[in-house]
This record gives sequence, structure tokens and C-alpha cells, in this order.
Amino acid sequence: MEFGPRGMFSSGVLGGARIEARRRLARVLFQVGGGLALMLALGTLGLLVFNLVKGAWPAFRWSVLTTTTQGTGGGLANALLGTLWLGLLTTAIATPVGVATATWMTVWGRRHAQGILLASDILAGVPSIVFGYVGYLAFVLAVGWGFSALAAAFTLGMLVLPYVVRNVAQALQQVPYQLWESAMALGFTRIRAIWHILWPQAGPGILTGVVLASGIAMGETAPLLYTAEWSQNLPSLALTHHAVGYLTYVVWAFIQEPYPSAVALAYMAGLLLMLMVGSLALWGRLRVTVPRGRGGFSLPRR
Amino acid sequence: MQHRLKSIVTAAAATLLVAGCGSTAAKGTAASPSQAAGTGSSVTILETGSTLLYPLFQQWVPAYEAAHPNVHITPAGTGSGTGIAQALAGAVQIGASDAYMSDAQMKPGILNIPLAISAQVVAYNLPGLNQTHLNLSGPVLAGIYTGKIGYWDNPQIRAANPGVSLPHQPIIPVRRNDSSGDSFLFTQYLSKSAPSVWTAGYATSPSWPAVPNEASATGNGGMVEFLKANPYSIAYVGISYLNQLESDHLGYAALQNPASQYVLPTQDNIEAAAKAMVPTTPPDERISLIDAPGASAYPIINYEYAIVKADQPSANMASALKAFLTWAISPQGGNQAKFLDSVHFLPLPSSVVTLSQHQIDEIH
Amino acid sequence: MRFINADIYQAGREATRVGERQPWSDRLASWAMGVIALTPALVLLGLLGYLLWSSWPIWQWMGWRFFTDTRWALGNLYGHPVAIGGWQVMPGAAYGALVFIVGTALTSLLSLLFATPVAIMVAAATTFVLPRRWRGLLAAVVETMAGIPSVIFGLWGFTTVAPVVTHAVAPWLNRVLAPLPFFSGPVESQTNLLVAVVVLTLMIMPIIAATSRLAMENVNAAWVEGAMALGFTEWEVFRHVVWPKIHSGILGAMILGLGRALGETMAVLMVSGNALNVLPQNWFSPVSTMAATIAGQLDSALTDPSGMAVRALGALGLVLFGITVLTNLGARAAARMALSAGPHSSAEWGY
Repeated sequence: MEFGPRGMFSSGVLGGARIEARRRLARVLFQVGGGLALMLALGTLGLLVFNLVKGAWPAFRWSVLTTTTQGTGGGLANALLGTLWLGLLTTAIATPVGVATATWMTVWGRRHAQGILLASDILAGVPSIVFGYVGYLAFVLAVGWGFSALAAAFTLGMLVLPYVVRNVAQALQQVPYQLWESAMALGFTRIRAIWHILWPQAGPGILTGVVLASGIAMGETAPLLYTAEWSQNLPSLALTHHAVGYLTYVVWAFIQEPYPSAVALAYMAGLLLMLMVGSLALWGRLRVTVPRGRGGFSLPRR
Repeated sequence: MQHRLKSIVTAAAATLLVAGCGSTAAKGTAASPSQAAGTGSSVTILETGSTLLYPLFQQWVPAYEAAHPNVHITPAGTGSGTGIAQALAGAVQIGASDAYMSDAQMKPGILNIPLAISAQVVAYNLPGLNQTHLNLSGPVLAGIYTGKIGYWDNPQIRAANPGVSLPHQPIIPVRRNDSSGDSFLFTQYLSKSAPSVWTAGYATSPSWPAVPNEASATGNGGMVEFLKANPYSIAYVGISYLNQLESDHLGYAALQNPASQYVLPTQDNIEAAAKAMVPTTPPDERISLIDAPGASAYPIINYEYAIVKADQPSANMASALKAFLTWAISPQGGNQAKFLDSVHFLPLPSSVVTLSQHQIDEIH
Repeated sequence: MRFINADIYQAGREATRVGERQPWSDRLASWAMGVIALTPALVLLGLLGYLLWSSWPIWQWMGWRFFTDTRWALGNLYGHPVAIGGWQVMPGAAYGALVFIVGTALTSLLSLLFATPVAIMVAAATTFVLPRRWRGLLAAVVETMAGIPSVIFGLWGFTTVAPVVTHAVAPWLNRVLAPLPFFSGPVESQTNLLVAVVVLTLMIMPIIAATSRLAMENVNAAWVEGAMALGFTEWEVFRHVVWPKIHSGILGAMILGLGRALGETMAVLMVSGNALNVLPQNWFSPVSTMAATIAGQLDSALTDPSGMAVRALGALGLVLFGITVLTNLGARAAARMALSAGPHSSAEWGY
């Protein structure tokens, strides 16, 4: 291992100034490079948001939120509610499974926890269109639900499950072990300790994790194209055989239309998505203190 | 369970609407999902498919729903192939298609019901020449889409367009990326009019030859958008987008018909082609109307089909579907000029209405 | 992540209740939750099984030609199916995925190449360069960028990036890179490889940056403080203290970014040009990727009465599935190396 720049401590008086200048240059270059890279990232974000707002401008009217899509014009109430509805259904499917999985991993899992986490992580890496393909063939055709909220929610449920598992497991790990130990010492059964201590203590973390996962679900497009399809009507409570509209569809399909009303709606849908998903993600990011190090303690942040 | 879900959605809707729009909230909630679920006899008909037929459905649906408040129709423009496939799979009730189904695709109890007569235009973006209607023929288009004709000033194009100064620019042939009845019509025209150049056959998703600078777009709308953004490109577009082509100042071609005349997709020329071809319509109405004889006949016209399963899951759905389709083909209903004119479709001749009605009557 | 608390909880249990049988309620709960906990693995196996089952005839029929042929054609759908190798196939059909495999490799590797240096600089800036109070906020913003739905990048790419890249950047690139064969050529349509690469680069950069940042943050704080105290500049701390410790963390981040680029569907579908049957001639050519092809061609495939086209997309899905699983395992391996490299690393936490 190399300590410090070569010659840093052994340089003679003569070389010193030159070396100092070089060090200063390297430092400035590093700062400038970092600054430029950061500007590129923030510039991208800024341009993206600016572009969305500018494009959505013609559609800025309250009725966008209250009226349904008519052809390539109208409003986005159907898509907005559809996105929320699908997000809700997906969460309703993925949360119990994810929480149970994470709880079992934490309390009983032991060696198997690693295996489950491995499967879960690999699942998180599977491209969303693969879920869409299988979801269409399995839920829409084979099971026979048709284009429907349920087919879409199950497809998305599989997709977000690994995120729920990981987020909830993280939240459960944040619970101080001493609490668990005390409960055990008091003779709690595990299920009681889970119900009265582990889950309530991890509650906010679990909530954050689930909300983050629902944000991922609401931002998806590819798995929905062939499962929820598209509808101009407000989502109905029928879970099967009724197509559902959603915001990402509007972005994808309407931006390619030659009509100004359609293009404005596409931007508007993008902006609404950005607001919803982006604020959920930012909220979650600021809430979650990423655990560092082992067990119940965190390394102080520099 | 059902009840709880309902109240959740209604609550979500209400919250959103209240948050979103203040005083108009009351109006908005009136249309909330609880209403649709509340009335027992309401029927939702799903339609998907042809983006050429989509603009017409957009006009039909509000008019029909206004007169039949308990029927909801959900149209979607996804491409004819999707229309056919989803109707077959039973995922939708009406699959809209510019293409009739092939023998291999056909299954017993599947109906191909013409709803109107349509046509296709070949459009392009040639800066400076978009007000000129170029003369294009099947062999030239086949040459372009096989990569054999690469530049706009190709001798074959020049020969057909005397006096037009064509630029030496590479042609970008645009095809549909989704499965499309327009691809079907276009490749059928190429197959019939240039069989020696175009050997790939015809289909909603044809086996496109490898052309290095080809491009693709999704939906008729995507084709128009692509033309707008990319000078020197050429694309085939359903006639229901003609108004849009004109307002975007894009050009479209006069196509060569079997009588070797270059004709524009005017109402008269489409009508002339329809007159010649309609009498040949068989009872199952699956027929190509491409390359009609006659000096003024426009070569690419077609029936716009509703692909419907005769056997519907419920009597309720069957009767709603029959009523809607009967209205759609009726000269007093969906085939009125006020609906068809803006998309440049022609109404079905009475002989075809009769044939279509026979098919509609098979729905049960 | 090593699943640490499970061990602690277990150890605690054994310490306090050695040999004691769990009450029936716990055994029931353990059994029930244990079954549910199999779900991720079952879903994974289910996907794999479905894709295998769906694509089986394609492997039998096309074999290796699936990977080496450029021709992807549904055949004459208005003809009658012919029997090939015991399967009904439309006449003239062929399913060679080389175009999509090459397109996937080109788009993802090129975007990885461009995104990585920027991402590392962004991560370094939010860890070392910026004033302390800005670091957390900007890091959060960059991480939020990683969560922007891909369809929004597609919209932006389609409407803004594509015209700018095609009409402003491409002619300039053409002049500068004129001698290079692949990196110059006629610019024709607005949807092409370069635009896809630019959009993908901007998409995966925040992911790589966020994960790299975690790796950097996990370098022992004492070493960093110590180096600072010795008079190291930020650059020297980064270069000589941090960098040697984060090689594998960065590798893991790159592999995560690669995984995202490989599987990206909507953004690529909207800006790549969706080439069929033809390999890119230069980086202004239209391309297509496996993921975008599945999304873009599924509707076409459904019109094939022989069902082969749907199966061919299943074969594409299987290949994509395999590649992304391997990529993910690679990321884990790299992260494990990172874990053993630093005393407090848990770089793979951020996905």
C-alpha cells in the first residue's frame, strides 16, 4: 500500500514548489471534474423537469385532474386514479408476502435467510418486460382474467416483491436487539414478540419501504402494456376483465401522436408521474437512514 | 371486501378531486367509479386495435354513450394485429382491424365485420416539395422498401415525375413497428403491383427485407410524427390522418393503379375503386379491395373490420354488442357523413350493410 | 448484505432458551411464514420455468442459429403453416436474434462506458468535494434521479435529446470522428444507436453514482480523517486512501448499472429506431434491444396463428433473464469482495 503521493515527504527544497503546484493542480482538477459531473447530473434533472413543465403547459388546467381522457384529448383523471389503484392493489398483494418473508428471515431464517435474499435480489434484477411477457401469458390468457387490474397487480406484485422484502428486512434490522431479548426473557412467544414489539417498532420503516415499492410499481410501463392495457374510463371496482388506464401509458402512447392535445397530455402525465414517484422516492430517501455497519449501531456519518 | 375496496377508491377519488379542484369537486365525484359499479345492467365493451379506425371510434363512442347511458365503450389504438389477437383471445369484445384475418388465423365463430371503407395514403417529408403530389408506383415503393432505390433522385422516381427537381438525399423508408393493418394494406399493394420486386408477402407484421437505413414508428400517429421530425422520410399512413398530414404540411403521393394512372386519394377516386370491388364481397366479407380496376380507381382501399367472437360470455354483452355494431354500420347511425367525413372514410354500400348485418345477427 | 441480525436473533434465542421447544403458535407462525418466504424463489423459478417452456420449440427448431442469424421474420401469416421438426411454423418464418443481441450489447456497454466516469465523479463530489452541508441533499437528489420512471426518460429522449443529438451533436461528431469507421457515417433518422446510448447513459449514471457513493462512504472514516490530518488534499485522499478500497464497490455499481441498461425497455423502445433484420452500420444507425423487441413485437407475435412468434419472444426473454441473473450474481460477487476489502462496507445495500 502506498501512502501519499510519491516523494511527498522526501522532496527537497528545490522540488518542493513544483510538487506543491502539481498537487494544487490535481486538487483543482479533481474539484472542477467533480463539479462538472455534478452539474451534468443536476443539469439533466433540471432540463428534464423544465422540459416536462414546458410541454405540459398547454394542459395546465384543473379539469385535467377531474375529467377522463377522450380520444387524444380531455383529462387524466382515469389514468391518475388508475395508477393509484394499481399501486394500491400491487401493494396490497406484495406487502403481506414481503413482510412475512422479511419477518421469517429475521426471526427464524438463519442460514436460509441468505438464500431467500439471494433469490429476492436476483428477482429485483429481472427486466420488467419479462414480467410483462409472463404476466400476459399467465394471468391475462392462461388464468383468463383478461386485461384487468388483477392481472396487472399480480404482475407488478412479483416485480416489487424483492424491493418490499429488502426494505422491510432493513427496517426490522433497525429494531434494537435488546428489545427482542427482553421480550424473550419475559417469556413472550415469538409471534407475540413479533406482533407487539418487532412490527410496531419497525412500523415506520416498514411503511417507508412499502411506499417506496409502490412508487416503483406506479412508475412501470412495460409490465402493464399487455396486462392492464388502457382505458378511458375511470377504474371500476371490477378486478377482472376491465382494462385500466394509467399515467405511464399516456406518456408512452400520446407522445407519439401528431395532435398537440395528445402531446400536452403526455407531458402532463409525465409531470404528474414525476411529482408522485419522485416525491415518494425523495421522501423515502430522506426518511431512511441507511444502516451501516453491524447489528444495532451505525457508523457516524462523516 | 368489495364494499371496502369501493369505499377506498371512492375516498381516494374524492380526496384527490377535492385537493385538486376545489369547487368543481362535486361535479367530478359524480362520475366516480362507484356509479359504474352500482348499476347492475351496465355493460363495458372493450375495443382495441387499428389506429386507423381509432379516430372514428373516438367520435362514435361519445355519441353512442350519450344515447345509451348504460353502455360503456373503451376504445384503444394499439394496431390491427393487437385487435385481431385480443379479440381471438377474448381479452376484448371488438378487435378493430384494417386487415381481414388469414385462413390460418380464422377459427369457427369468428366474424370479420366491415364497418366502413377506408384508404391509405403514402406520405413523405420532402422539404420544398410537400405541396407537390409526387407520382409513385408499386414497383418504385417496393424498390424503396427493399433498399434497391436509395435516393430521392433515383431515375425511376424522376421518370414518373417529369419537371420535379428531386433532391439527392437518401430516402428513409418508415415501417410500422407494431403489428398494423396499414402494413398489411401497403405490403398487399406492393405484392400485387410489383410481384417481382416485393417477394416478402403481406401481413400485419410482414417479413421486412433488411434495409440499413430503414426506420420504424408506432401507430399511424407515430408515422406522422416521424415524418414531421425526419426530412426525406417516406411512410404509409391511414387516410383518417389525412387532415393531420395536411396541417403538418407533409406531402402525399398519387399512386399508380392497375390502369397505369396516377391517382390521388380523393373521395371520388376512392368511391370509384369501391364501386368496382364491392360486388365481389363474399358472405364472410374477408376480401382484399386493393388494385381495383378503372382509370380513376385509387389502388389502396379496404374495409375497416370489427373482429368479433360470435359466442359472447353473456346475453347482456351479446345484445349490447349487436346493438352497437348495428348502429355503427347504419347510415342513420355510425355511417353518417358527420362521423365519416372528418376521417375521409366512405360509408358501406347497402349491399355490404346487408352482409354485415347478417354477420352481426350471428352474435349470441 | 450479509444477513446479520438473523444470526444475532438466533444466537440470542439459543443462549436464552437452549433445548426448549417452541410453543405451537410459534411453530405454526414459523411454518406459515417460512412457506411464504419461499415466494421470491418460487417466482424466480416460475419465471424461468415459464420462459423455458414457452421457448422450448424455438431451441429445438432454431438451435444455435437463434444466436447467429440476423433474420427475424414471422413468415407469411396469410399462408398455411408448414411442419418443421415436428412443430407448425408459418412459411418463411425465421427467428435469429443476433440483431437484438448486438443492439443490447452495444447500447448497454457504450452507455456503461460513458456513464461510469461521470458517475464516479458525481459520487466523489458528493462525498469529498462539496461543502459538507450540501453533500447529503445532493446525494439524495442524485439517488432520486435513479428512481425516475424510464418512460419519462423515453419521453425526454424522444422529444428533446433525439433532435439535439441528431441535428446538433451528430454533424459535429461526424467531423471530429470522421476517420473512425463505426463512429461516423450518414445521419438519417432521429431514432438511432447514439440517441439510445445518450439516454441510457443519463439513466444509469445516477444508479452507478448512488452505489459508488455508498462504497466511498464505507471506507473507514478514521483513515480518511487521518490522511486529511496528514495534509492530503481531497484528490490525494480519494486517489490514495479511498480508491484502492473501492475497486470492487465500483465494479459492483457498474454491474448494477449494466443490469439496468440491459433490461431497459421503454426508453430504448422510444428512441432506438427498433431495427429489424439489419445490424447497425455505424452509431447513427437504428438498433434494437432484446427487451425493447419483446415489448414492441409482442403484439405482432400474437397474430401468428402457429404461436411460434410468441415463443421466439419467450426465447429472447430467457436469454435476457439469463444475462441479467448472471449480471446480478456478478454484482454480488463484486460486492462480497468489497465487503472483505473494508471493515465497514456494505456497498450492495443500495440497489
